[in-house]
Amino acid sequence: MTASDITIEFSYPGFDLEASFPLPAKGISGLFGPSGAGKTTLIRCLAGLERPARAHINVGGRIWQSDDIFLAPHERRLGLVFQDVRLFNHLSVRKNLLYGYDRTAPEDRKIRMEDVLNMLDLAPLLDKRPEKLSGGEGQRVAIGRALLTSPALLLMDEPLAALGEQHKKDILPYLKKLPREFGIPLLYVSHNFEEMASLADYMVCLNRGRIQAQGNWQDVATQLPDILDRWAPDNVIYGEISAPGRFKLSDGQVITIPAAVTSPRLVLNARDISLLHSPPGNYAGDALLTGTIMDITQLDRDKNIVRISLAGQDIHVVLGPRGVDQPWISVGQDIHMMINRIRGEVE
Amino acid sequence: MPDFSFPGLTPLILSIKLAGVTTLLLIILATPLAWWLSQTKNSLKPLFEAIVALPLVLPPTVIGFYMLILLGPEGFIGRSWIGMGGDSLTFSFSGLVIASMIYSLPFVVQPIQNAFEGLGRNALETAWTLGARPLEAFFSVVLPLSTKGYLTALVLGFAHTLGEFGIVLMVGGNIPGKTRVISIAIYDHVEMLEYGDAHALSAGLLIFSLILLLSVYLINHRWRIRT
Repeated sequence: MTASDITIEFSYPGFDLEASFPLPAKGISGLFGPSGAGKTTLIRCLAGLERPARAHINVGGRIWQSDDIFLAPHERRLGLVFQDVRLFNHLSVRKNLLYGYDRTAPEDRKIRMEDVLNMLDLAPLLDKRPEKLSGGEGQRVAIGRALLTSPALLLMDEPLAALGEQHKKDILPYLKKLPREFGIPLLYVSHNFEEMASLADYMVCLNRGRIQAQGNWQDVATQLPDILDRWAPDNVIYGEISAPGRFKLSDGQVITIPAAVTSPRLVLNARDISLLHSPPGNYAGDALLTGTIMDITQLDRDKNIVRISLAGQDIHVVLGPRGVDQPWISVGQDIHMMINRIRGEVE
Repeated sequence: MPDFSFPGLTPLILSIKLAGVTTLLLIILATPLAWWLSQTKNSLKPLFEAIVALPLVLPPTVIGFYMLILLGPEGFIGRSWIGMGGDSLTFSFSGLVIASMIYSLPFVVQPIQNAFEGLGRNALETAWTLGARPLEAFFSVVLPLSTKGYLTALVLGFAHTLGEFGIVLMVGGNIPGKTRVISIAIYDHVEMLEYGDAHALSAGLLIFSLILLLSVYLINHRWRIRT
């Protein structure tokens, strides 16, 4: 199979996407970037759901878009797995799986139902209705449904973002063996550093609509401290607005936020979070949170990414070498965090 | 002709026929209209929505009056209809259907439009990426996921047409077997102090409507349990 080449230029008021990158013909490629980098816009352009002003999209030797070609979404051999799963609720799991398969030309059907059922352990779910599935099961069905169209490229947009910790761990092994098993290149889109580190062989880093780095994982990883220096990872956490200015997490902890923020999504940049061993004696603020250190990834001599579980959700904090040397920074340790700055999404 | 002492049977059947034909045609017509309204970013959308909603606020006599003029042999619609080889539309069943469609338009368009808007574009786009052509995606995903809206549209459109009075009187008159629908028959009986007949017809319509609504809600309830 031939490699892919993608060039997309797309603008709308306040945002400019200008990205050009090749993709290997096999294995897992990661599209990595903070929220707001333009990942979703890029995906929509790739799928043909948006029509960029100028684009050249060549996937495995087929032109999806160029100056005088624009294939409609149903003409592109793209398997798309969405963050919010999007199974068809009026159809059983079996009919969901067959929806794309039945609409694929018989000569293009390279992936067999039986193999997909085996690999993703879907057989027991076949006669269930989508709303009876757990989040992890639903996402497996969605992956199977996309696979059964025998796509030239399988694209996953933050497929684990809406899942709990356990379901993430359950699905990751499936994702890892997908490209090998079916010979389909996978483009995996995420803002989550660990997911990328554990999955991607090839990386494309996107920020503010521009490609900042691309190449094999090892090559990009050495540039990563530099890249992350420019954009420390954004953490997106979900909760509910219990009262104006109060963002409540599922475990009852409350973050004080500007009253104008009404979205149940909060963006906390890794740089805006400080870790504390114990709360300051006279500290009375609401911005002090408690979480548990899940793991520590050393990026280079000077920089570490600490993954913390906060009310069951992952957040990342960047720490220098002195920070990690503290005895109280260790995996499994409960830790206090101070939020210095909040960027909420105002709806 | 033997007299079955069911004086109201003919008007009742006529009413049901009128409501049925009107609703059926409206559902077909309202689907593309509701879809367009739910998807358009045209700045004139509020204007079109206001026009669709007009029959909600206008007295039936006003609609009836305009319909009488439009459907008459000199009116735009009436003249074209006769030009195409049809009979006069005023005081005819066909004319009644056209007038009823205008009268019940918002009751059918709005629930369907709401269903489409509530569904958003996600399901449609997902179907596209799975290889469904636009029209195919609409029929295989959007329509089945909008059944509740269609059911509401069906019931409201049918019931609203069944109960109409003013427009029928203006456009259709009171021709037995042709345009004398049940609401007008009841009115006639009351006028002539034939309360017994009025009772029979009113009770018949009441029971029929109740059975209709009940079966619809039962179906709806079972759907909700199943899905």
